[in-house]
This record gives sequence, structure tokens and C-alpha cells, in this order.
Amino acid sequence: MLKTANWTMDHKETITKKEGYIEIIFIIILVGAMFFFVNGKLYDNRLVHSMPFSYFATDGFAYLLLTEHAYISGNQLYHPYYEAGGYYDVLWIHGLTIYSVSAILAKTSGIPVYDAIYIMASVMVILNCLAMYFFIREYNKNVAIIAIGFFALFFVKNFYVSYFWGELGAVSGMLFLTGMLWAVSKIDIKKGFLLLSITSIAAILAHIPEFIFAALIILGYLVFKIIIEKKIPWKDVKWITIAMFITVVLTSYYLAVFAFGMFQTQGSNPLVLKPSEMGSLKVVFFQDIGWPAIIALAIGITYFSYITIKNKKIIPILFFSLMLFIIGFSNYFGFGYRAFHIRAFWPIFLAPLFGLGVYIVIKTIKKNISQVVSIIVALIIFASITLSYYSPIRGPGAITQEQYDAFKWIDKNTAQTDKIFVFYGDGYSQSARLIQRLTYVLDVNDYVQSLQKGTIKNIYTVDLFTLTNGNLLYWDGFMKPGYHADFSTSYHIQVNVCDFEYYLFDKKSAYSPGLAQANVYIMNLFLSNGMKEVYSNDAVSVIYNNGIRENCINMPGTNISTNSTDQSIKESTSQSINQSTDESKNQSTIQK
Amino acid sequence: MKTQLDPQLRKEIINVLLCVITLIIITQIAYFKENFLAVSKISLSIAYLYIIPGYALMLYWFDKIPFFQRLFFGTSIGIGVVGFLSYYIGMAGIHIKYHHIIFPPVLIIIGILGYVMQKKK
Repeated sequence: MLKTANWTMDHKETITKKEGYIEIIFIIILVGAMFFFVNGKLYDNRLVHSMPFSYFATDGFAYLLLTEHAYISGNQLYHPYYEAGGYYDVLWIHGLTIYSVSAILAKTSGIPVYDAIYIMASVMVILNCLAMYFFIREYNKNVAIIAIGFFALFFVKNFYVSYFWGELGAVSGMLFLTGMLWAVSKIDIKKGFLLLSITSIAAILAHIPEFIFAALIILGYLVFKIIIEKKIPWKDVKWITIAMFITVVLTSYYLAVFAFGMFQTQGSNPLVLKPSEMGSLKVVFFQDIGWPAIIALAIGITYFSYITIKNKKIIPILFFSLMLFIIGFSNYFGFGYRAFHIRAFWPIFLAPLFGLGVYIVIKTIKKNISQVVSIIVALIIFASITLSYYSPIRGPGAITQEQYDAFKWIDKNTAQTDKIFVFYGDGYSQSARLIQRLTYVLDVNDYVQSLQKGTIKNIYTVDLFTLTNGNLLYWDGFMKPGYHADFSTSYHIQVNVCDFEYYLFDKKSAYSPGLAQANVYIMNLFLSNGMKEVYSNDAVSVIYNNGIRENCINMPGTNISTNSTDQSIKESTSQSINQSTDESKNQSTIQK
Repeated sequence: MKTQLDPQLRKEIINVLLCVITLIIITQIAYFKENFLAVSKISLSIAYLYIIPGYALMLYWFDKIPFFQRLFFGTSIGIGVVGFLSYYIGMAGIHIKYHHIIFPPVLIIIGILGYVMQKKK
């Protein structure tokens, strides 16, 4: 049997009613605190907003647009054409669960999709913490209570980055990873294999890397069990095999799409990667845990090794925790940046070993540890981490209300075949992908360089928003993959600015006012040439090109004349260059 | 004929309801700028979609797994099962806007059937 009864310490499950109530109140307080710090602050302590709130990076916007697409189209068969190079048959190759469950929550509660996603993500994190607590508690209540204190690491330092930058597929995958590991500890109960099947299916559909990690840990668990206990657990092997067979059968269609799509392109990602190679993308370093927690971890690992050798039995939760610690370094041996996702969840995954380490230290001082002592220790740990490292991050993020209103106007008032040209705007290299049309965002460097020369061109370099993973996979026959693109296909292209139906101009900019001024100049040029302003608010205008296809800005290479206003554009543009170039660098790094 | 609900199950159902009320209170505190109606609507939606169906699906293991493990791992399973069903049912042509009407009742019924089957044995 995989399940071991109790740890070889003083743990006996004889709790009084009073202790039970105290424990529940303690959990409620800490879960409430987690809710408050993980998402409450980030969301400005409001659940419903008038625009996508606290979306800081391109990943978050990509999750949002796919969820919106699932909400509108009603299924997850195809990617939206406006993120698929204009093709309508590109298969949905990304993970599935976070999108569908968020869309269903939005439909049920009537809240906007952009709010539903972050609410579901926070629910998943809190649920993961609770699940981990009760998983540890099954073996030792005091260790579980102390471990809760370390959950606070999740919303501080670099641990928090992957959450608020919107890597929400991984957030959902982590929940099911915990579920799979818990399920394998229940494999010996009647129909226990069903639990493993369901959680494995959920992990595959949520985010495949987490399924792979969990499967490897389970395999490692069986191998270690054979080595330590010197017997082959045939019954467990049988049920795990059955569970995996069911999983593969029920997810075979999605696995085929994944294999032909995502797997083909993700294979080009580096398998060995140093954290320093991630550019400006913040990853968790080992030392981010903090020295007190590192010491607790070391004690926990040492004690776990000792009792495993001594008792010749593996305690599953501690083994899993140790494996997840090691997998956090798998960026050095084959899993590339996926390992960093695991590191972001170390506060939850390593909590059993942290808790054990602190428990052992206290136990050397005081033989009998009461529940109250454990609770006090947990509260001290939680408060220390929060007070030392917590720094509130709050929206609104990379989009403004005026920009979002303009996007929605375009969605509602333009034809599906219309193409949108987006001039410079703060955050557009990330946020403009929310426009549900083929959207081309002007390359900031190209724009700046031409303005520096005092020219407005016909031909500009742009980025066409496209979910490139999978090379735009489609079915070219029964289970026969076809690709609309290949590795050489570029979406960083040159276009004639006159070949568009609509133009989006930001008239204000917090980062580059000079570029906004240049936008207004070009916008006025368009208007004087007969185009029409069809939407306008304080900060953004949408211009309709009513058929002017040639020389829409008079002539190629139009020079900005040297009257005082135009001269000021040149000057303010020059001042903006450094800033906008920096911003553009950041954005392109985020898009990795 | 009057059928008696297992007292243990009745107690658990009350506990699930208490957990939902706690969820509303915690959510209201974490998002204190939001009005109570919106908080309640969202919390109850989460309970209806994921917590209660997940708990129901775990009833088969009523005697084998402690209540809180069934509740919290059950909620994860509720989310996972809805995600799985939504993918295939959506592909079959049933729009996602109907999924919240179909899935929770079906999953709760399956869970109750599992509980009854397990109890009969």
C-alpha cells in the first residue's frame, strides 16, 4: 500500500472539539489573508471592473483573448482568425481548462470575462494551498499548520511574478499536479484509480508540462519504493497503469493536436536554460526562499531522509515535496523554462519540508508541541514574510479605459474582413491583441527612426498579432496535419500604411508624449486627405479609410515641414526615443 | 415511504453550506470595495459550478476519504471535470453558454448515484 499510517513522531489524531474549532478558525484567517494578498490587492479590492484590470504582460492578454473567443464561439475548436494570420481553421493548441471554466463562470455570474479569469486563477491558487494543507495534515497536523505560514512566500518577491504577469495555464496545471500526487496516495482505496484518472486528464487539458512533471514524480516514487521497501508494489503499478490508460484514451484527440502542434514548435525552445538567460523576465532563484526557510528546508530534507532509511518506508507527501524541489532545477537538465513555473509554486510545494524542518527544531526544544504553539509559529512565519517582503502591486496594468473602449468600438462596428493599423500607444504591443480583428501594430523603432529623419512613410514595419505556436496547425484530412506557416514565417513584416481600413491613434501617452504628438500630426494628415474620424474619446481616435488606397499621406517619404509645430514634434520625438525604445525592449522580452 | 438521510451525510451537507457562507465572507473581506450582491453572486456561482458538483463526485469515497480532503480535492476535480466536459461537449456543438445549465446538475446526480451505489454494497 502506498499510504503510510502516521509519521514516526508523536502524531495521534485525537483532537477535541475545541481544537477542531480553533484549527478551522485559523485556516479561515490564513485563507482569507491569502485571498487578500494574492488577488485582492492586485485587483484593487474589487471583483468587477470596467476594463481588463491588472493585466501587465502579453501572456495575460493572450489568455484573455482566447477566453473571450471561447465565450463567444462557444467551443475550443479553433483559434480566433485574428490571432491565426486570418485563417479560420487553425486548431486550438493551447491548454483548455482555464479558458473554459472562466468563460462558464463569466456566463453564470454575469461578470466580464476579464474579471472571471483572474477570479478563477486566484481560486485555483487558494484551492492548491488548502489541498496541500489537508494532504500534509493527513500525516501530521502540527507540520501542516506550521507549513501554512510559508504559503505567504507565494505573493512576495519573484514568486508572484508569473501569477500577475498572467501565466495562468501553469497556475491551473499546478492545481492538478497537486491533485495527481494526492490521488496516487489514494490509489489503494476502492476505485482510487478513478481519482488519478480524473486529475491526470485535468492536468493534461490544463497545462501538459505539469502532467509530465507529476507523471515523472509518480514513476520516481514507484522506483524509490522498490529500492527502499525492497518489494515491487504490483497492485499499485496495476492501478496506476489502468488510470494512465484511461487518461490517454480520453484525452487522445487533444494529445494528437498537441503533438502535431505545440510539441513541434516548443521543441525548438532551449532545454537547458540558466535563469540569467531569461532577460528581463523575472524568475525565482533559490535564494529567493530566504535563509531561514532554506535552513528549515535543509532540516526537513535531512529528517525525511533519516526516517525513510530508518523505517524503510516513504512518506508520499515529503517525497513529492522533495521531487518538486529538484524539478525546480530541471531547467539545467532538459525542461528549460518550464522549471521556473514549478519554482514559482515552491511556497506551496515545499511547504511540507519547510513545515517539517521548523517542527523538528521546535521539537528539540519542547517535546510535546500543542496545536496552539504550531498556530503561533505559523502566524509568526506568515507575518514575518508579509511584513518583510510584501510590496503591493495594483492595476490598472497595461491598458487604459480609453484604449479598451476604442477596442470594443472596433469589435462592434467594423467588418470581420477589416484590417486595423495601430500607431504608437502605451502598451499596444501587448494589449492591442484584444482587438478582435487582424491587427498590425507599428514597430516603435521604425516609427521613431523615421520621425527622427523628419519623414512620414508609406511603408512601415509592423507586428501582426499571431499565436504562432504550432505553426498554425489545421487538419488536412483525418488526423493529417497541415500547417499554414513554418519556422521561417515572420509576422514582423513591412506593410503599406494605406492598405488598411481603420487606424487607431493614441493622442496621449504617459511614456512617449512626443510619439503621441506625432500620431496626432499623422492623424490630421489623414483627415485632411479625406479620411473620416469614426470614433474618438479623450485619448484615442479611430480613423476610417474610405477608399484612399494610394498615397494616403500625399506621397511616399513626406517630409515633416519645418514650421514651429512640426519642429516641436521632431524635438519631442527625439526626447521620447530613449523611453520608447526601452519600453519596446521590455515588451519584446515579455513576448518571449 | 419516508427515506432517512444518513445523519453523517446531513452533517456534511450543512458543513458544505457553511463553507460556502465562509467563502462569501472571506471574499467580501478580500474585495471589500465590492458590493455584497456582486460578491454573493460570484461566490455562489463558484459554489454552484465547481464546489458542490466536485463534492458530490467525491461522495463515492464517503467512508474512505476525510471530509475536507473530499471537499477541497473534490472542488479541483469539479473544475477539472467541467473543463474536460466543456471541451468535448463544445466540440459536439453545444455552446458554452449552456454548459452552466447542463454540467452542475448532471455531476451532482452522478455523485449521488455513486454514493447510493457505494452504500448499497
